[in-house]
Amino acid sequence: MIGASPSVMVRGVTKRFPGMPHAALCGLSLCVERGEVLGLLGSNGAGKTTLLRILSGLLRPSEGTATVGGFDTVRDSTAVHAAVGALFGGAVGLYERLTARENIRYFASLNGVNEIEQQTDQMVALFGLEDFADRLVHGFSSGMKQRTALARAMVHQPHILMLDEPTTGLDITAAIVVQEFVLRCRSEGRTVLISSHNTGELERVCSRVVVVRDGAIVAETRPGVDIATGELRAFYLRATGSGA
Amino acid sequence: MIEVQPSRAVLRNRVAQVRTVLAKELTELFRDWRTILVSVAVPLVLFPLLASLAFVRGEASYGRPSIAIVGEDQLAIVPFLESLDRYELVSVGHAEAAEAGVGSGEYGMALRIHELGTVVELIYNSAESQSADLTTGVRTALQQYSTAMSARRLDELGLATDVLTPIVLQSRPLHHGPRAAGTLALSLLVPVLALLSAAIGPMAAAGDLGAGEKERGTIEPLFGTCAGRGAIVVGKFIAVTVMAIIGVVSFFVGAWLAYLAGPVLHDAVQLEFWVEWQTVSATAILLVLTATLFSAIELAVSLSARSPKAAQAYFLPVLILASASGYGAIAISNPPSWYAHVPLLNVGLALKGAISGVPFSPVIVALWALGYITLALTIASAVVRSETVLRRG
Repeated sequence: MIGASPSVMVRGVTKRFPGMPHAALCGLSLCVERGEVLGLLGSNGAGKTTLLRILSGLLRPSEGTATVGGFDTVRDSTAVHAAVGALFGGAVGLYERLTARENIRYFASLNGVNEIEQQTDQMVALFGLEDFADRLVHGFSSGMKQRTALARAMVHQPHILMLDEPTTGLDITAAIVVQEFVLRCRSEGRTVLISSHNTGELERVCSRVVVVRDGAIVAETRPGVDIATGELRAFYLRATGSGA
Repeated sequence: MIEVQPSRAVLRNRVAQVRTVLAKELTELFRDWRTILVSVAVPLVLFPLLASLAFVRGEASYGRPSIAIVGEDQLAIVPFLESLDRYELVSVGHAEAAEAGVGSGEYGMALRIHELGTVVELIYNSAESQSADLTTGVRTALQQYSTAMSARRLDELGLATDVLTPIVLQSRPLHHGPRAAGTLALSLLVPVLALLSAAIGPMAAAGDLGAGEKERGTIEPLFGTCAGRGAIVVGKFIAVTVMAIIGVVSFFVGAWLAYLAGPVLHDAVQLEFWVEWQTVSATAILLVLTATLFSAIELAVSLSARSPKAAQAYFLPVLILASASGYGAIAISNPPSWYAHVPLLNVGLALKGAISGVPFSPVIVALWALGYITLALTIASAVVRSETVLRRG
């Protein structure tokens, strides 16, 4: 099923959380083609993280269905986990009493990678972690942590990546590393969903950007095609009615 | 690189996942000095320290208890008590002074001798255990003295003295001297120590691997892997249980060190601990089951909590229940058989029974423990399968 087009299909997904007055997602539909890098642009609470969590198989939709790599995110969550590499924003979720290499190796093992050591070494080299791979993560800079987290998310060679605000809190050098990683994924034909508040970043790496507001997609555009470079911010403000 | 698992390999795959989680959790736990401190170092140091303090306090009350004597003794009660060489006898002029001295703790008790020694009044502090114990001993001694006096008078009259003892009592205790004291001490100590150590031992690890993982934001990436959530729970549970057993062993080693340190440091009485290997085996099995039970309960509690702080608050009732069950077990004599179905208390009673050689439904208690462990793990698995596990406080 992996490789069938589209990579991600969301049909009328609504998500309600107990005790919350409003739905986090309201009948959202979305189609992401294989090899596409889709940006999710929206304010805090718009529903971006909830959408990525549903697509990663961590949350179940209250209504509607979602498939990732052809697998239903509820019925085939294990297959979805195998197809997806996810990185959630804020805390990158590394084990600080393990080394970077042990973190990567742990996830390789849990994801059923066959050549664990070989694949771990490959990730260490790919993300330039050689100098600190055998040091405990505790004490790493935010950039080092983010590179380790990306290596961990990629260790099972997922076809689809979900990156939730991956450059939040990073310095400019570390942010560039992440952006270049996304561009490399794009050139390799991987599907990437990336949420961000940074319009410049999304313009640089995305083939398409959707604007999420109040749990629904209110606009979409292709930077460099539908709009000129540098116009995404103005597009967002128009789409959300915030530009007045 | 990814293998979608065929159904035949699922079980083998799950076992591998459990091993992976277990190895990782133990690696992390053994690198956490706080967990090691709470589980190992504190019991090893705390018990000898507390025992030393207890011995120092005990030494202050060493020496012969004092007894105030009020009134003259024409029948040589005082010389009799002096001949026992157990008591410090102090002559006091007035009964009021003796009573006040007993009330203030100056004297353990007082003897007021009336009517030329034919009536002896025992004045003691019934609210104070040392005074009550002392009085029991003196009362027994005086009754023996009274009987001996009657026998002497009968003998002087040429009558048979065995009329005074129509029933002859012969004691044959199963344990003697230091061994009897040792067995009694173990039967009182082990239930409390076992339940407390089994409750405290897994706390740090359970808090770290459940609520701690939520707080650090590592649980989302973990649940985003191909590992089954059941396998993750089982791996964590075994890791917590390993730490719990290490904690229990540390508590008992600490208690043993305290016992060894007592005579060396304080010239205290050396007890003799001698138990059959069957008793040791039964106690060890019950200890492991108890540690496993608390590990399962505390992991389920920790996974349900939104933060480590909340988990610690939830652990408190568990600790109180463990303490109450331990002390309840040593206080209850001849428990009815249905107590074997009362959670935690049944463990304490079974441990006490195993040590004292009066088994208390060990099989039923073990089966209940296994049932509780299964229930707690089922709850933990249900918790991690629900979306609420991703919420942080």
